[in-house]
Amino acid sequence: MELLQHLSLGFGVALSPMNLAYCFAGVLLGTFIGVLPGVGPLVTIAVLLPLTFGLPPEGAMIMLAGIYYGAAYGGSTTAILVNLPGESSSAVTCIDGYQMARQGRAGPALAIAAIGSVVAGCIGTLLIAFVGPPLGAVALKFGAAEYFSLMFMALICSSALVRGSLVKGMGMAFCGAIFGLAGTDVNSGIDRFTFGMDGLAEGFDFVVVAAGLFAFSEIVVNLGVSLQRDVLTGRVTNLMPTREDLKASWKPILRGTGIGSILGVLPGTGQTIASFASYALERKLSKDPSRFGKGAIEGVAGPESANNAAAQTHFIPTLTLGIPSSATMALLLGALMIHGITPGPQVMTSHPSLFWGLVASMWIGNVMLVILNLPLVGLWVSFLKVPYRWLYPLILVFSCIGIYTVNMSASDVAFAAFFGLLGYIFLKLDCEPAPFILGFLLGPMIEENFRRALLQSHGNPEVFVTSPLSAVFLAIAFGLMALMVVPLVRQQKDQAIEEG
Amino acid sequence: MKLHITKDFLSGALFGAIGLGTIVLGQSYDMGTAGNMGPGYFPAILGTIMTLIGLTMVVRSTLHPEASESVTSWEIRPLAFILAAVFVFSLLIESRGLIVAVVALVLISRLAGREGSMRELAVMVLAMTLIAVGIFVYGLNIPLKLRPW
Repeated sequence: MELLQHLSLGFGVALSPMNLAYCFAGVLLGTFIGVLPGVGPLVTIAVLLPLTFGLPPEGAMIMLAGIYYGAAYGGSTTAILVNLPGESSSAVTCIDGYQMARQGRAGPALAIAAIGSVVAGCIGTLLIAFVGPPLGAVALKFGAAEYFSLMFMALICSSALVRGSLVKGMGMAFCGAIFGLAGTDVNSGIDRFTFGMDGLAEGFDFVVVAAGLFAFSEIVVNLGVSLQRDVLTGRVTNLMPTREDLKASWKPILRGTGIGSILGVLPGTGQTIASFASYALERKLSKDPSRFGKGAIEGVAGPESANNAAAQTHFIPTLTLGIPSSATMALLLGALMIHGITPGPQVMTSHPSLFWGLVASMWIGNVMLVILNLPLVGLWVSFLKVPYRWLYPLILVFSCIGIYTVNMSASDVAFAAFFGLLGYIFLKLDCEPAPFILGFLLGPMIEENFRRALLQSHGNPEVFVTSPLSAVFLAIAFGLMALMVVPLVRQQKDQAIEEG
Repeated sequence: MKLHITKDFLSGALFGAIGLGTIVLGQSYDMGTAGNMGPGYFPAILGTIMTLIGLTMVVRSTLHPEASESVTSWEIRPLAFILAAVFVFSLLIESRGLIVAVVALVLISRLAGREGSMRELAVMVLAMTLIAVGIFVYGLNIPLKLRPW
């Protein structure tokens, strides 16, 4: 049993006292920022990335991953108690979770969200362990054409599944790819789009783009609106869900896990989509759909499970193919590269202790989350009372120093201010930043593989369709584009996304 | 016909401008051939697609202005002060050191919001400076210049 050997190696790594501490620190921090509205996992990881440079790669990845799935989890607490999603993926939990809280059933809602998350997290992690190695083995055979088509598909997926039209999403993806062009062209050594600035010879650093686009622009928007919070803390009395609650929830939990796991594997689709899809499914399957929106426990159990399952299975394309499935995953890949590890299918074989240690740590982390969250829910909610005017200077200080220390470059900080402006304009124009960031990251990889594929085929574009795998990826991408033109499908998508 | 400046219209215009800019700036790079691409080939493709996307959105939003809303308000004050705070930090961090840069960052960014007393501001400045120096310089041993001299 190779898998058992791998897992025992993984648990050996994850259970070392230092890595347990990193895991704990990660989930603790993740829950904390998940609870705080306006501070997402992406910003936190971007800002804290420099803090992990000194750690061994296993410890750094375990901690960053902990922040990530901890935040996916913490977001549900605020959704239920304050009707304010800590993360966008928790938006759908607000609908029925907050209603349950108003009916005095906040305890069971929190408990079901926790149970669902843990079940989904564990199953999702199991999937990584099972699917990762065979997928990685296939990916090792990928050539330039397959990689090009796969990444193109990922870009189209992320463009199609955001709010707004496909054209707008694609605009954002291509816009990101254009900003990714800046820097020295690896093949010719020529500086492109650097405007003669030395600070741009290596291109824009990913941390710079992420901090500007997500941290700075969100601070500006948050300062423009006053956050009204109606905290229902006094009502968390009885945490135990009743037997009927559990009976009503176990199927939605499993269905949500299934939906989340599948959507999480597809590169470019998000947790938010998974939670919305699960909510829509539960309502459709329910004998009495009118209960939804009025405190139906299925409306908490399903989406929360889907959200967490997707959070875990996002790691599958990220770790096995080296293709980030979301902006946060891209940051984790960036962290890998900073530690001198090239992301891709070879990571599993060349750094088994890293891969399996990370997988094992996710089980441990998911259990830690329940222990952390349920008994301490009152403590977490009290953090909601921290006024935003104390928070944003802290975010700014950490971001600016963090950006500066990545390359010890003052111009990086100035570039981040520029991306803050760009991000703000995007936010005001309802342009989703997710495809942009994916385009920015994948752009250079797409160009490299596009050039290599055509170099090998002497300029013959048929190379992208003669390889069966590449043809399948392209067919999915164009099929999705065609599907989005069908008015009915587009309406259904808009409806599913808007319902939150 | 009245021109409707909707969000989609503005996005289209922005995308189109970025696309055209990419094409124009990319003119100076060698195109090469499909079988042996120069540094200008891929930017030209991206720029062309981007321009087409921008054009499509502009045309579509002009024909169907009801499909998108207009921007109602811009948060000019927070935007200006937050970006200014970050930019000033970038100017000060190397010449004047971490302490001056952090103090300036917190003070300028405070102008972005309107709440809080002066005493609270003083506490914030002190706390942020201590956190920054404590974590980054002493905790992580990152060699940052501390003082202006």
